[in-house]
Parts: sequence; C-alpha cells; structure tokens
Amino acid sequence: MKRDYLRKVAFGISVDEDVPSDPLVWAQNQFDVVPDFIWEKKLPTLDEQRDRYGHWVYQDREVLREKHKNDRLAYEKEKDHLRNITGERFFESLELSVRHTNALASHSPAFERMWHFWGNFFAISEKDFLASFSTGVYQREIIRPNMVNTFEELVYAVTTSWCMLHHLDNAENIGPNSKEGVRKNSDNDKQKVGLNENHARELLELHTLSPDANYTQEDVVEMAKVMTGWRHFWSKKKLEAGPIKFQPEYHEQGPYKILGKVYDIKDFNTVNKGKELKVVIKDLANHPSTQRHVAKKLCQHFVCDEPTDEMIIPIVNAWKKNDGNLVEIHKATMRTVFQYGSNYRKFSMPELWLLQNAKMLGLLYIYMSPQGFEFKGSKPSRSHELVKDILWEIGHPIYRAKQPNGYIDLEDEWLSPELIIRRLAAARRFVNITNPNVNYDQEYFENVIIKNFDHPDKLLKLMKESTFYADRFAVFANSPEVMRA
Amino acid sequence: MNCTRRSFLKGSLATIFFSNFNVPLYGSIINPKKNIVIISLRGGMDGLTAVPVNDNLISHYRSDLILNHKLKLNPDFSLHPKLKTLHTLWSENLAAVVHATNMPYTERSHFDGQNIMETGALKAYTEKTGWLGRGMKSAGLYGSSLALSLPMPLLLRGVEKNNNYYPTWMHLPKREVIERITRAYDGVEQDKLQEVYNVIMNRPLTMQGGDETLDSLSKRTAQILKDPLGPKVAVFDLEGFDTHTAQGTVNGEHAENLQDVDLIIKNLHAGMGSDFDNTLILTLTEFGRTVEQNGGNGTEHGYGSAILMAGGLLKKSQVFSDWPGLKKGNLFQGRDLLSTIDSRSVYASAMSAVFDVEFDRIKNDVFWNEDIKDFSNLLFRV
Repeated sequence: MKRDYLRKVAFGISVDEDVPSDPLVWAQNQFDVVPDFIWEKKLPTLDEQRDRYGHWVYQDREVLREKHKNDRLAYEKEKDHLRNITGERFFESLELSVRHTNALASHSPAFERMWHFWGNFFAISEKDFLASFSTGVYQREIIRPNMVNTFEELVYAVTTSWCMLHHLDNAENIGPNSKEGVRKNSDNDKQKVGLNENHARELLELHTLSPDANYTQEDVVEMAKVMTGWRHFWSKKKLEAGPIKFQPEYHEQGPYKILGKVYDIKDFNTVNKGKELKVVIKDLANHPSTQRHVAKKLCQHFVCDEPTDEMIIPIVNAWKKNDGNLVEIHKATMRTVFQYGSNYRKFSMPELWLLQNAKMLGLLYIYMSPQGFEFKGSKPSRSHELVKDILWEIGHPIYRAKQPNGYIDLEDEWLSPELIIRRLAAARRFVNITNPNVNYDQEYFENVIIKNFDHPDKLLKLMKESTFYADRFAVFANSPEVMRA
Repeated sequence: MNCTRRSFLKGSLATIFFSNFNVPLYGSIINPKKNIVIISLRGGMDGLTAVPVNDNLISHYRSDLILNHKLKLNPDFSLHPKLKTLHTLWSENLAAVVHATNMPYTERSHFDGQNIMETGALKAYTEKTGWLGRGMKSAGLYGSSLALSLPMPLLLRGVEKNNNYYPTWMHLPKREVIERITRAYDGVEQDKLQEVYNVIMNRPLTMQGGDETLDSLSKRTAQILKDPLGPKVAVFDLEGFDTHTAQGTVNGEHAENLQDVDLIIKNLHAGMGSDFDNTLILTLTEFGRTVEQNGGNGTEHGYGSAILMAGGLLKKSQVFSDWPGLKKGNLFQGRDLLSTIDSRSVYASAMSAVFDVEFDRIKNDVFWNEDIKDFSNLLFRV
C-alpha cells in the first residue's frame, strides 16, 4: 500500500506532487514540529476573540435590548449592524478558510489531518456564540501547539481554556460549601447554587476515561468538586467573556475520591489550590482506559469503524513507552494505518471528502488563499463565506457539532439519503470551482487517479465512460474509491 | 443559540423521497396508517403566550405582554390569535392542549434542555438516542421516519434507516449520472451506499424542485404522510422561541413563531384530507419562560410550558392540565410556571396510541420504567 495510504492519513496528493518513496516515513516525519499557518494575513488571538465575544453579548444583552424594548424592528436592525462590526458573521468563515488553506497547501498534511481529529475529539459544540467567535482560534491556540506535548498537557490546556469551561458551564459549578456558595445560598432572594457536573462528566466520559472505565456517578460528583473555582472572571462589561482565573472563593474543599484514589487537601497548600485539577488530570490522562479510548478513537478515525486490538495495542504501547508523548502516539498511529489500513475502506466524513477532492482536483474555493484576508469591521462577502457555505451544504459545519462528543466518525451517522444527496449535488458544482489553468481532460483524471489509488482500474474505466465534462466531477467524487479511503 | 437563523426559510427544494417501500398496499387499506408529527420549538416556548390563562394576575406580572383578541377555548384558557387553525380545529375536536407541562428539567440551559427534550433522560448528555427513535424501535418501525432537517435530529436516533429531507439550493446531477455512480458500486462488497443511491433515485419525480418556504415544506410533508407507503413519523424543527427582548403580543417575534406552528398544522390538515383523522401532531420544547416580563419586554428561561396538539387521533378538545396557579407561592422558585405534568407521560402515551404498542412497553423500552403516567385513554383515540 502506497498511494491509498496518502488518502488514508492525509488528503491524497495533487497532480503536480510526486508519490513519496516511503509513505510511512513521509507521514511520520510530519509530527515532530508544529507547522506554521500558511495564511499570510494576521490571525486573531483567542484573547482578542474573547473580547469581541464579550463586546457582542454585552451590547446585545445589556444595551440594545433595553434601548429598543418596544421596537423589535429597530432592535433587529441595530443588532444586525452589531453582528457586522463585531465580526460575529465573519470569523467562522475566516477560521475555516485558514484551516482549509493549511490542509491543502501545507507540507505536513498528515499533521493537519491529526489536528482536525483532535479538534473533533475535544469538540466545542454549537453553543451561544462560540462557533462565531472562538472555536476556530481555540483549535489553533489551545489544541495545535500541544500536539507536540503529552496528552496530559493537551487535556489540561483544553480543560482550563475559556472555550471549554464556557462550553460546559463550569462557571455554574460552585462549591456549596465554598465562601461564595455559602453566601449565595444564604440569600433567600437569590437562586440557589451548587455543583454543576456537566464539564466534569464530559472530562471523564469524552476527554479521558470513557465509560469503559466504569466510573460511577459519585466519581463524577467528586470530579465536579475538583473543578469548582475554574471559571471566567466576571465583570459588568465583559460578562462571561472575562479571562479564566482560578477563584478559590468558589472552590469546594477536598478531600476528593476519584476511581478509588483519595486526593487529600493536605497535599495542596493555599497557593496551590487550583493545582488539584492538574494532579487529578495527570492520573486521568494516563489511565489505561484513557489510553485505550484515545487509541481506539484514532483507529476509528483512520482505519475502520470497529478497530481490533491488534491495531489499538501498538498505539497504547507507544503511549506507555513515551509517557503519553503525542508525537510518538501520532507516529504509532501512522504505523497502524500503514499496517492495517489496506484491509479496510473507511467512509470519509463530508469535510474530509471535500478536502480530498479539492486536493486531488486542485479545486479553488478558499478566497484569497494563501495570502489570506482579515476582518475589517464589516460583514463577509459571499466569497469570504464559500468554505463555510459548502461545509454547511454538505452537512458538516465543523464548529457546530450538536453535542460535546463532536461529529461521530461512524459511517452509519453519515449514510442518510439527504446527506448523500448533498454530496452528489455539491460535486456537481465542483465544475464551478475548478482551477482555470487546468484542462480537466481524460488525461488529467488518469494522472490524478494513478497517483492516488493503488488499484486504479475500476475508477479509470468509470471515468472513461464519463465523457461529458461537467459530469466527471460528480462521478469521480461519488465513486466507491473516493467516498471511502 | 442562534435564534435569528430561520432555517426553514432558506434554500430551495431539491429532492424528496419515500421510505417504507416494502409495506404492501392492501395492508394499509385494512389498517390505515397512523402518523405522528413532532414539531420541535427550540428556544423555549412561552406557554402563557401560546395558551393564555384567564387570570387577572397575569397583568400584574407582564403588563407589556398582555394579549388582545385572544381566541377563547373555555372559561379558563384561550389561544394566541395567531393560532387560528388550531382554534378552528378545536371546534371540531381536532385540537387540544396540555398545559403546565415540561420535561423534568429545571436548570434553564438551552443546551442541556434541548438535549433532554430529545433524549427524554433526566440528565443532559447521558443518552445518545432520542425518545422517538427508541419508541419506533420498540414498535419495530424501521425506515418509517422523515426528519425535515439535514442532520438527523437526536430525537430520531436509536432506530435504523431514518430518512431526512431538507431544502437546498443545489441541484442533483442528471439521473443517468447517478445511475452510473450506482452501477459503480456493483460488486463492491457490503457497501451500504448503493442502497442509499437507489433510495435517492426512487424518489418520485413530482417531489423534486419547488420553493424554499416552510409553507411549501409542510405542504409536501402532507403529501408524503398521506401516501400509504410513506413514513409514519415526521419531525419538524423550528427555532427562535428564545424571546428575551421585545417578545411582542398579538404581533412580534413569539407571535410569528406561533404562526409558523399554525402554518404547519394548517397545511397538514388541508393537505392530508381524511388521513388527518389518523394523525397526531404534538409540539416539543425545552422549557417555558418566566411568568414575569424582564427589563427588555421579553421573558427569561423558565420551566413549565404547554404542548399544542392537533389531529384526528385526539380524544377530544380539551386543555389537559393540573393547573398550578400563578400566585407567587405557586410558581416554581417564585418565577416560573410550575410543571405539574411530566411531558414524557404525554409523549409516551402518544407513541403508545399511534404505534399501537402497550404503554408499559413504551415506558420500559423508551423511558427506563421511570415514573410516568399513562394518559392514552384520556388524551387519545385508542
């Protein structure tokens, strides 16, 4: 297996690229350093995006609603303007364009694939205005740089990020015996506060152990206690968009008992209180159930829906041998795909399918890529929005998963007729985003197919039968060889 | 959540298709197909706006949200003036309301609330399937649903072969192109895609094209449900009920949203003809809203709401409620209409009636034998 592998771990190769002589080495070499973004224009930072988020919610919630309380049309009009000047409409398109530019033009496409995997593993689902402002930059600033660190460091960075804490309501997770908890609960006019298990539950279920670890509801409650105090700094003008600060006055004292292990408060002095979370995450992140859960998810993404032990165990072993170093985990994953991938045809989720087609056919749909564009205080044009629009139409708006478990990487999730209709229809439109300098004749398709498929005969024949120019794109993109890698 | 995006008003119709091809026609004549339609109202529907109670206290709590021209149902309750169809159907015993009801969820997060309204679980994110999907599975109904949305709603998950349809402005390739693609799957081992392409190609041609509105979508749905071989379960998804500001009264945002609900019911009633007799429509929302108005002449997230119901499978016109009252002490946490009926009892009873499955089986298979009540005989024609 040589050529199929390039599609299994990356997006395939373009007609101008050479097939690497050793695909496994080619892939493994991409994980040692974090590749730069190709985007030449300045990218917004997470702090800037948090501020913009804050400005948007404050103006809408605290200013406009009061100002126009008797005039909905005036309210809608000014809100619309606010949307444009804060970039509420803009940044999702910008971030997706950055993501697709790197996927298609980077020299480390396997790294980009892995970045997409982790973004979905630690999904921020569609909540409030996260997708509009911060999910893209969260993936760039929180996930990406940690892909050369340990899994433990990655989990900790994600767990204490403003995006995940806000996404899973941890600000509402207040120790009932904490200073603030006691104060709030003694005020009869105020709503009672207490533990909110949301974030703690997802940390155990999705981000670390998985239900296979057989943790109990009691473990979830204890985890929630550990997480109390990790919240945004609230201010009148920024509301929930203030920076994250561990706030001891909301923190529930230990000791805590999680998976049978007692974490005693005596181990932590006052200064170190917030570090309890770090200590617990260290154990969770390196737990055998976590290793297996993550390794299985990796195999599920790259190899097949129901991975076997022989695929999973080498990844777990690399994890153990290298103390959870992600570079080695990624390299072991590449080897597993190399060894077992040829026995399976993994169904590609819509975005991956789009990117593979775009890579192989040289489709041009990212506005101003790779020079890039930036936010200038106005609403996006249709060209700015094209990446977002296509993803929306094919049913895969990346930052808008409906649930915290992200998009599910199993083919049954994606085989609904309407979703397949969307791929047929989208591929029909590929003819509108082709490279004008390329002649998409039979010879072109032949070259592309020979470079990207180990067993090209059936696909070559299928394309030969597709004599009508515009049909070729729909036939190619929806062929059995391209729908699965 | 993004409440300005009115999903149904975007895009244009491209395709539609049937499922359930294998049901023999004569079977349907002997036993008419029964349909259930769920309309999800995302954002939190204000039950007191949709179905106002005749109580002077209301003007004390929400003086800027008082409705004129209410459509009277009985001495105690009325309908919002935009729910005209529902009011007409009421007089024919084809409409009813369950009031002061909700999922047993009191935390007021859209995010968790919508998860719970779809899974029917007591806690958010503890279940990965929807109550309707599990109900269909319990009744052995495979390939009998149509979601009018692009991603399969969580509500329908848990049963195989669901169908979905959602307008797009994009067009399919020519039929011969899809045929060529389908043939390419010949001999590809165990690829479920070929079956999907076959389903796509077997859509009746009359169901292609059309315009992009909720009006059109609901008219088409009526035709689909009318077909004895068509699906038995349809799910609509409406957004925008989260009216924190300028909620409006007879007109305004909440009113327009209710008008959308009324439009679906109107088109299903008009389009389905006598098949409407074998149909049950119910709304579903994550929570109600505060009784008291807020500083922006809107309302905040609350608890108890109402379920609007229509169709010939209703037992009679009624406002079914264990009314908790609006005195401050009667409100949940002093602010929300209390929910006195676990709405899961209503949905379980509805599934029992429509799917012809014993209530206890639904209670067990769908709601983990939790303490819900059988209202089948009180609410529905069984």
